[in-house]
Amino acid sequence: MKGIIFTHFFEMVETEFGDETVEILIDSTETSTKGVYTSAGNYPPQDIFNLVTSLSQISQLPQAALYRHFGKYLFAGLYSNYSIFPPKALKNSFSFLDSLNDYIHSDVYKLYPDAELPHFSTQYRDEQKMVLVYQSNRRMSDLAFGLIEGCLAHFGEKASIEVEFLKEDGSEVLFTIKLNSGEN
Amino acid sequence: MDEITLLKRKLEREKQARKDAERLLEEKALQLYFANEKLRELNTGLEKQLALKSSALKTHQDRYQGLVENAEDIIFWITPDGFFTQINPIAARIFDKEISTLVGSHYLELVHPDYLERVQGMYQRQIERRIPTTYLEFPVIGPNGQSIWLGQRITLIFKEGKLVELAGLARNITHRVNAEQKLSLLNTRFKALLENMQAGILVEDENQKVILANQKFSEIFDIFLNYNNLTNKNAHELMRAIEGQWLEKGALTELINPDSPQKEVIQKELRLNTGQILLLNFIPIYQDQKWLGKLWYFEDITDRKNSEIRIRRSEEKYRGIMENMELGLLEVDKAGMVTRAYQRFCAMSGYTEEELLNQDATQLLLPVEYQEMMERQNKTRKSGQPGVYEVELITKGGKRKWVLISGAPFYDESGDFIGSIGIHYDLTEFKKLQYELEEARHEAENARDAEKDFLANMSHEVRNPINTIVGMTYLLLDTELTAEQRRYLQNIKYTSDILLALVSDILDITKITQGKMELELRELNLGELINVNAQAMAFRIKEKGIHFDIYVDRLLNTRVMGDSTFLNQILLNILGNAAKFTEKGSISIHAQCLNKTKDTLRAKIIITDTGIGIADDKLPLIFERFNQAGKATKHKYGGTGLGLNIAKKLVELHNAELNVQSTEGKGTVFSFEIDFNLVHRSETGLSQTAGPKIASRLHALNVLVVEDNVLNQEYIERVLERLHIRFRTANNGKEALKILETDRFDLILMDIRMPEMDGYETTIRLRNMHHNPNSQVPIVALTASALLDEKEKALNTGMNYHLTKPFTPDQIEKVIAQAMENRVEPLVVPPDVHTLWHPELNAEEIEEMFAGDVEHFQVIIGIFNRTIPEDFATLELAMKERDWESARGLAHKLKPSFQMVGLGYMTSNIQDFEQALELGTDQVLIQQLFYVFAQNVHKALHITVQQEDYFRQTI
Repeated sequence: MKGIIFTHFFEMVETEFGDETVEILIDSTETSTKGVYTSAGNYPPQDIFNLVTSLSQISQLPQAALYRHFGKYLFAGLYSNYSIFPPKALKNSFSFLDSLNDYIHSDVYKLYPDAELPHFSTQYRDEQKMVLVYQSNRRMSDLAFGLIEGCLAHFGEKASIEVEFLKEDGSEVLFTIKLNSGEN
Repeated sequence: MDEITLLKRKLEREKQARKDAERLLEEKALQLYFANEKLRELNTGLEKQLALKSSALKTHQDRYQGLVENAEDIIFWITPDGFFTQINPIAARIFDKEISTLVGSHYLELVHPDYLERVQGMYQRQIERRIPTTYLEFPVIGPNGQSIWLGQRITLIFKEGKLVELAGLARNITHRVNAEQKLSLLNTRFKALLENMQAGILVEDENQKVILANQKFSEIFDIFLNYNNLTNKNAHELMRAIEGQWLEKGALTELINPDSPQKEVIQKELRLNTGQILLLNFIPIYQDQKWLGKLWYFEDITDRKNSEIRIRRSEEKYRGIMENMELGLLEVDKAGMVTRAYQRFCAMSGYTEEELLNQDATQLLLPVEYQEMMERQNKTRKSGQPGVYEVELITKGGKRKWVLISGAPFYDESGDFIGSIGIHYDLTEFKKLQYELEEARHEAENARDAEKDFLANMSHEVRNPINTIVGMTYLLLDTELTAEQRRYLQNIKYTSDILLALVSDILDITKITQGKMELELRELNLGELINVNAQAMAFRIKEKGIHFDIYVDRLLNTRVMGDSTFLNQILLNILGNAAKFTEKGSISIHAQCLNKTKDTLRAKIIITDTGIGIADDKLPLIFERFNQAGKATKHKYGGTGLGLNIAKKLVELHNAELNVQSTEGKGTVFSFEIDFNLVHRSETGLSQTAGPKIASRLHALNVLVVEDNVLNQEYIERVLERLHIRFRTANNGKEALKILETDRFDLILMDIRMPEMDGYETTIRLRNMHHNPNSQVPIVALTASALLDEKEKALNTGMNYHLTKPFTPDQIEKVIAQAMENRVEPLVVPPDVHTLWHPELNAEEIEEMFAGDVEHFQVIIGIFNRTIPEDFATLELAMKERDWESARGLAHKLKPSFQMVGLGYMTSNIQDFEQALELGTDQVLIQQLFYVFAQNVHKALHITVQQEDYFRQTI
């Protein structure tokens, strides 16, 4: 897993739970680097699962909520760090999400050939509704949920998101995004 | 945890993270370096590969270009809107245009106008529907506007989903298309031919299956099936099915026997039950020794057969006619070779037909002198003109035969001249007859000429002596005579009068018939004249014991203008006739004045006799010359038989008619009515009784008598002596002119016909002797006949009066007195106009030509005499050689020469001659005309040579 995910995760913990929570989290969680992450590095994904599990115990907040929140946070961070990637033409969330696989991730791969990225494919799209399929062996659909929310927020859009597990283990999840008309 | 601990831990992690990041960066930089190195290597490889690929591409392109340029098909690229962007050289060759011209041009410019729409539509559709490749055949316009057929494949070329151009491949398929069209045309024609053939056709294959039949076949055999439905039927079964229609059963059995197939073409005439005649052509079909089937060809030749029979019959008929005619027929082809000789011609020529066939008819049968003429004939014939001509044929035996040939061209059915037929009629007998007739005619003409000469001689040889007798008798009667002498003398006078009358009759009738008689009007007492004549006959009539009644109306006793000579003759002839033919009974003359005005009177004279009369049927004949009413009459009554004829002519000369009424055995009545002009002058003129009164006035005269006849001299001299007139006598013109040079005369009595110099010439010469005192002396012409032209000529040459022989002393006295009383300026005729030339020359023509220039005329005559004989000899030669064309030219050339010398009238014949020569067909006519022409030339030369001699002597 890319180091940037961890640096943004610790930034979020530092911002939302304070420096002491960060030290506690590092001390209480078994990680490959004892809490040392650089954005250019690559780290085992188990580290993040362990960290989120530990944070859930510390903060007494459900893991899903933590993932969703982190997702939102992550979108804004990634977008500002890597704004060169998404084509300028992308003017709304649907076109952004639609271009994830073909444009954004393909560019990410060029820069980080060892990156393991989730796969998003558009199943349906019109003005008001979009159906996305999330595929990843990491089963981090909650993070994906949060990222979608972050995307909507970025474009200033509001939508209702329905989640449907296409596989029980969560490796394949269907997102149905319906824009809240009238508010746009 | 305190703040410092937190910061230390955080710092420791940050340091650690920085080291990790630096390590990562180091790794990345190395990675980058190696990647870069690898990239550089890759780049170098790429350039090499590019060069390699480029070279390969170039080779490929060159090959491709070569292929395009050397292709036998037109290869081109064209923009979607139809403009050529690239085209290979073959196109340039095919269209005979520069490639640079073709590139940029629009393809439709090349398409044949008739196919524009089709071609354009095709490619529009291809583009609209995006059909990758199409194929189309159409003609384009090649050099000189000829059509070139192309088979064209067009492929659309797209780039990024867009049509950018079209690639074309076109092959010249003109030969194929032409071949196809020809084949198609041939097929159509063949079909049409078959359909329209007047013969029934059936073609079967080697399995006897009908593969083709036409309408006519079905018609001929009355087959119900449509001819198209005969296809695939068994031909032999079909033949067997129509077997019953043949008149001769089994006619075709042999031909449909499968065991022994016919290999030869067979032609056969077959008859159908219906009477039709068919001509069968049975043709086995082979190709490279392989038998492929048979063709049956049935032609209905019924009409042809029938007409052949008709023609044969007709030919036999005409042949029969021709053979039975006296005409020999000979047919020759265009080259003149005998193609057929009919029996009669063979008999005529002595050859058999076999001997004549394929011989040159002209060479074999015609004498050399006719061959050229015949060739000309043949030429004329080719132009379609028939001709008739007489030639001699040489028979096989070498004898010559005269034949009349009528040659006519004949033509084949397309109107081309293919030969001639000559119809020969044997003229040998006819020619003989013609020759004999010609001889007889010649003799008759000679006899007639002799008669003419005789009559002419009578004039001079007989009349002159009689004249003398009569004259002398008059002189003698003036002397002292006993009663007995006087009676004898009266008898001499009477008989010589009769003799003179006889001769005069003969001469007069000649003159009258020649139309040369004219009335010579003088004053006379009509009643007296009738009385004198009646009295003259009274003696003869009364002598026969016949009663003679004379009645003359007193009103007729007046002076009128009339010709006493003719009136005397009329009365004497009719009265003489009456006296001659009346034996008993009476004769009467009844003269009556019918009408008398201030200026004219009309007298009717009726002479009646009780003679033998004339039969009705003879009545019209009595006025004919030498024709008395029957030979018996002539024998019994004698005489010339001219009397009534002369009387009739003389009455007619008075614009009157001599009527005759007669009953045979009872008698005859002659009557006529004549108008006279009255004379009002008192008796100052000369009368028959005035002689003695004027005689005294003539005493002092000196007269020259020019007369060659001694007896006439004697007579005239005695008369002049009696009138106490002085005279001198000259024997001819020359002597006279000599005397006239020395002596002076008051009058000349001039005979016309004299030796040395005649009266005309003497007169002209004298009149032109301007210094001679005698040049104006009055001249009296003494003419031998009353011929008008002689008298006229005499006056025209400058003589003043004339006396017709015989003349009485009174007449001499009278004319002398007249000459002395009415002195007139004599006519002076310049010698160069009239008399200098031969009387046969046309004076007017000469005058017109030379306007009095005698010397010029003399020169021309000389030239004429020297050139004409030569020219004529050339003409004769041309005639001998039968060169009509040259002859015509020569004759034409001769013509104007005759006009020049005043003999133009002789050339009237030349025109006919020229025309005949131009046609060149009528040989007989040509020869006749040439004969006449030759006579004229000889005559003309005779005259002109005389004329030239004459010129030489006198000028």
